[in-house]
Amino acid sequence: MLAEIKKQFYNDTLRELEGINGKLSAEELPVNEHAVIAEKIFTISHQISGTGPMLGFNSSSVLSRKLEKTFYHIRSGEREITPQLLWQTKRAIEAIIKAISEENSQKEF
Amino acid sequence: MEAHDITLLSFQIQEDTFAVDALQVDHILEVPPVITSVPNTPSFMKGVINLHGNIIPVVDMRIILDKKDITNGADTSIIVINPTDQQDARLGVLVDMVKEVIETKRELLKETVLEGKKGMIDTFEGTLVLNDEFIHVIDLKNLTEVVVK
Amino acid sequence: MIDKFRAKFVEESMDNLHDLEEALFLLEKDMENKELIERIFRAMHSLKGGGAMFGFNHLSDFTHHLETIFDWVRNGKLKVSTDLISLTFSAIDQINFLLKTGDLSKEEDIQNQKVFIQRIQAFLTVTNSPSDAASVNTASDQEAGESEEKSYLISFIPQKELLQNGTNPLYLLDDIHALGDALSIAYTHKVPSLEVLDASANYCIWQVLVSTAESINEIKDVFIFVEDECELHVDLIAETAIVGQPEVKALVSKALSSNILLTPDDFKKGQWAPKSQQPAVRDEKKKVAVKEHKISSMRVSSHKIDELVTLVSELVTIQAQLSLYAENNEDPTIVSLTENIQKLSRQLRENAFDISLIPLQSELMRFQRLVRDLSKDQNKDIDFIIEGGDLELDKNIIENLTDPLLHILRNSIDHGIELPDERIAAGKAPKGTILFKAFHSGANVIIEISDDGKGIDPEVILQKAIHKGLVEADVQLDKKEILDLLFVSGFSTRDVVSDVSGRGVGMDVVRRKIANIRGEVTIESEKGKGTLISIRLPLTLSIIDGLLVAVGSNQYVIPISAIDKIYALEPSQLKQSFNNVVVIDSEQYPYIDLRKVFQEEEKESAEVIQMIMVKAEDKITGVIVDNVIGEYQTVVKPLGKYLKKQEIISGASIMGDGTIAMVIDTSRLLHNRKLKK
Repeated sequence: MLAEIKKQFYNDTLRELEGINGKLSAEELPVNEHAVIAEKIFTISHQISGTGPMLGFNSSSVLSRKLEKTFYHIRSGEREITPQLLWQTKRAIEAIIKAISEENSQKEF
Repeated sequence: MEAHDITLLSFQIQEDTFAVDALQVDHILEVPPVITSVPNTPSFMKGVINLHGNIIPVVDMRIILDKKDITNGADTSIIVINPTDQQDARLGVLVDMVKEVIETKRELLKETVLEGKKGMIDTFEGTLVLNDEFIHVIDLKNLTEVVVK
Repeated sequence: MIDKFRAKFVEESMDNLHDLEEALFLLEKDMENKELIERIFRAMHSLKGGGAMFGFNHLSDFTHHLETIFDWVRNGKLKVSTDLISLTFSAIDQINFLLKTGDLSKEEDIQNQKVFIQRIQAFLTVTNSPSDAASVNTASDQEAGESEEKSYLISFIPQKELLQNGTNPLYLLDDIHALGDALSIAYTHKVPSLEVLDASANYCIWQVLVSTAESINEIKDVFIFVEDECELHVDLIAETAIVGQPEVKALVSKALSSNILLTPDDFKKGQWAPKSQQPAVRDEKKKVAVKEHKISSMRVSSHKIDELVTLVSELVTIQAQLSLYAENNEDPTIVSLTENIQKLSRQLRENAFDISLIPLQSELMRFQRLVRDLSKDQNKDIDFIIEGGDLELDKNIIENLTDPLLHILRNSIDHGIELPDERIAAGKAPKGTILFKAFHSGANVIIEISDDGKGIDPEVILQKAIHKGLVEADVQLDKKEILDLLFVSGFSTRDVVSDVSGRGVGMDVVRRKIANIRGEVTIESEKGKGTLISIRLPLTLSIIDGLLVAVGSNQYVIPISAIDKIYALEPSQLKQSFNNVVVIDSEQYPYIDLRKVFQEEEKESAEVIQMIMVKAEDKITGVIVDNVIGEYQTVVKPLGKYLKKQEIISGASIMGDGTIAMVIDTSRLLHNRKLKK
């Protein structure tokens, strides 16, 4: 049962992250999409830092918590999205993808 | 000149004394209980021995020098030479007795003059006369050519 | 110390290039493949980063431009094209050159590199629309108005845990370098000695000087996800672009040698002239290796492996002596200890030998490259198919195999495969095929290279051989014998000077080189249809599973892989046999009596005759021995150069008691028998 949930979590998270990564890879993200992607990144990073460790995905929790924090500030308007920030976000997301896929392949479900 | 110093290892084959360049000698061994014969080889090829996990072919110098009445005794030894310093070029040479190490000078070598041919050996590096004894220095290059032939 | 790192970097980069080439080949077949594009980008990226770190500044600069291209590609700004792939292939050669020579000093080389970089940049400008130029991080920032550039000193002092959160500081430094002209200083004096070094911890401190038009916040944003794990200072040090000026470089080298971090005050004294119009030498970074988080493979010098293999062989031999002693002494403690040691040394041996084998794959890239380049040069369309690339061989064999294989492939392209319209005229598909196939066959490894090109006309070969005086004019030869003339030394035509070899040119060399590793090469060809060259290699120097048998007073090993069955025959069955053919289960088999081959005396008293059925070249032949002793896994050792002529014996094995058993090359044995008939 737990294995089932883990698998589900991994698949969903990965799909979501890759979706975001794809968006960030596109030349320049149109400004009108900023809010949508910020919301998405906030949600997924919240999920990874919250649920991840429970299901055995530990290594990415520090980084995802940072993402979560940053995008919390962006949502609340305390911080602006800059191209550099999006670039670093892409780096972070790539690192998370790498970390969770490594953890996933190490586990025998 | 130091470059002219040579070190020889002399050995006895029946009544004759020969020598080889000591720098090209790897080991001196007692004759092991078994020398594994290799089929379809010339009679001087005694076979192969196991030296620290490596296979070394052994030739009988007495047959190469065309001696008769060959017997192995307590002093019979194998001199392992390594003319090119490569693992696969090592060769065991069976002799009646290993004698001594001689420090000498290359200038003292005289041209080898032998009564009759010495078996399959064509050339010697020279002959050293020491205490009225003739020591013929074997040309290892020539020896290995004979073996490969 | 740094030299050591440099050597390591070059070595690793060669691997990286290898990977790059492989990805490029695949990309050529599937130009949309995101994963491959990413792989290429990563490879360029690490070459750039590593290059800068180890003082390969020209390399770093060069790969920087390529990285930009592939960054565009992966972001969908640029499409992969055959031209781009060809450019990248030649870039790989340039990278190779840069790795080997280090920074360029010859004016000619520097000019060449400049021209090359312009070619690369042409790719960027052709597709570079105005809106693209505005994109920030990755595109070349040369266009940015230089007057607006300011210079900053960034001090990045990470905590030890930095690496553990999946952050690669080199990426961050890269991003800074992408903002403008930058100089990095890595302070490594806090890196502890190896004994106490924690590979997952970071000990480095970096300072970066950057001249950029970007705002200070933009710079700080680079470190947004590591700010908790580091101390970060970004200070404005000049209102103009000063990076690259000699005074700045002097400060940097002073900081590097003294290990004292630069402060903003250090720059106050300078009177900075506006940046000159000449492009500053970029990427003069000096950093030191940062321990990568995970090591999945490592490099060991082949010399060490040879030594290991030798030691392990000795251990196995001595262990077998111990087993023998234990058996004879019936001490239960020793017996059980010996058994354990036996198990361990067996595993150790298997491991050691496994390490010493390398997959053929490692050389295949060169072959692919050759086929690709030559076919492009000659406007030929060739599909190069590889089968069995994962086959593992002794590294000594592989080393000696590469040149002959390259030669054979070259011949196939130059003289085998026709031009597309010639092929169409001959009723073939315009695209030719070269098949490279490697597989195990009995106790051998076979490598076949076949093409569907125009084949070899035996008549032409024969005429040429007659003309060269290699054979008499009235000689009667069958086709196989004629093709064999290709391997005769003196057949080669050296009067045609070109880098394109003539079919037959150097085939004598090919045969000789293969013979050196105790291999055999044969050729088959059908005029108009194609050519097949097949190389048969022994497994010398590797371990084999063998059947230990006795003949006369000696023991021999027959490779199990060559054995089909073993029969016990009544002596009467042989007596009825005629012309060395025996009938077993109503099948006729030719047989060889090893006792006769080895000139041993036959033991007349034997009640049963052991006949080992050996297969070679699809035929089964019986081999008679005195006695079958049992199965052994054994190390095949070479007999040395003095016994090379001994064809039937391919090597020798040292048994547990230190005695020697000779390993029989069954196919030579059967082959020789045929010849004698």
